[in-house]
Amino acid sequence: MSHTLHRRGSVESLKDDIVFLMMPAHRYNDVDVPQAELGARLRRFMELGMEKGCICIGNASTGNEYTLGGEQGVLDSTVEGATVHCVFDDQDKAIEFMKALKEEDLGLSVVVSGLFDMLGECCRKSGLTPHTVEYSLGVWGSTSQLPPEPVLEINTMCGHGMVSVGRIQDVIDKIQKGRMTCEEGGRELGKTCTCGIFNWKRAGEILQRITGAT
Amino acid sequence: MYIDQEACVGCGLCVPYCPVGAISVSGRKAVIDADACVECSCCRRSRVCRKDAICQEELKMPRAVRSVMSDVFTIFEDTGVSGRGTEEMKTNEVTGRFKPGWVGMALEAGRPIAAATFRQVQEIAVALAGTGLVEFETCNPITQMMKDNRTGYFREDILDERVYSAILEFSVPVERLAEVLALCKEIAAKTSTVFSLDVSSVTLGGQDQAVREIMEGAGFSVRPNGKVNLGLGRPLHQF
Repeated sequence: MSHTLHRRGSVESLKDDIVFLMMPAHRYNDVDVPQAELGARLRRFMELGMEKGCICIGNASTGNEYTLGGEQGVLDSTVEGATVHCVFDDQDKAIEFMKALKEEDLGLSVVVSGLFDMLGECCRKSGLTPHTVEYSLGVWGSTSQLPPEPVLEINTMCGHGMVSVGRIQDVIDKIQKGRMTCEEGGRELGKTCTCGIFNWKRAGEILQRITGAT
Repeated sequence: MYIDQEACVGCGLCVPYCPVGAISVSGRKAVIDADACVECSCCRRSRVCRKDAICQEELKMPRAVRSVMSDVFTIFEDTGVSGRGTEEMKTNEVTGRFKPGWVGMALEAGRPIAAATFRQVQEIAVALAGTGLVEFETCNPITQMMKDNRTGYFREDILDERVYSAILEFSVPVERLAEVLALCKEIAAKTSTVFSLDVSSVTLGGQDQAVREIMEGAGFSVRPNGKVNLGLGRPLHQF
């Protein structure tokens, strides 16, 4: 699914939000590449992300750093067939990661989500050429059911919707009562995004905007 | 999901964790509204309950489709992908699923937050199929739950099952994209849930830019952020 696609927010807010995904092509790579080798390549992708300064990693089949007890837990849980992620909050670090991916040539599909203009620049600087793009045309239908935009910005950073509106409001409440900082709130909310694609730093910034706290 | 009423102490900590608001506290005990629950397991997986009172019963059809569509860790056998998703454009450089001259579209009913019943999803699917303009992706859990993927009708036993979201995936020739987008606007005016909409295109020959112009010409605002397949998968599909 397009779980990293429909992230909401302004260009200013999204500029520090870059999510990478790697997965084997079902019925292609799982036929051509030995299982142990597939797992090793997926783990290497995340190791490279960590070396280049990503803020979190995750595995859509097994869990995130919170549920698996840290980065090593995510790496250890990763075997063939997984979809794995690295989240960056900095364009320059993302470019270095893309250069490393090109250099290592792991042979599995990589998709990056972010601002198109920024991704174009990242591709140019890393020597990569976009193959296919996916555009978001936003949300349609009975949109009056949706919460205020800043809450939606946080909620849509987990494309599976596992960062609930109730939990976001709960965290806002705790910040306003001085029981949690915005950064702690961002980290707390990321715990239920089991794929590990939730940008907890950006969430902290949005929480700052909502609450006026630090 | 259900709450073990003997173990529950009614603290209510689990209530805000539910993505669809299905948990409440009544009579000093937390309860899950089974009709509203989409079986995503978010409440249990959050480990918020100090008494381990959040339980998962064995799910049987038709209720099991809720878990297939809503629980991130449930793998649909035929797609091999965890959650309700598919590989769509993620592996397109290898699979060649979306070819030059065509676009891939995904209409994700229920996302974000509103959720959807299969009856709501069916209303949308039938409207899309009725035009003869779309071909539903066969390697997709939703398509495989249809009685007939040419009509968009689903198995009747699942119509009242509620899921966090359901992705209708289909391909459209580029020259018919504007017509399908107009249809999506009509569907948006009628549906009682929400849907997120996306369009995928290869970049070959500048098709992605041509597609963007068609979408804007059809009155759609293209989001400034999206996804890019970096073409690193091997072997490369030869179009």
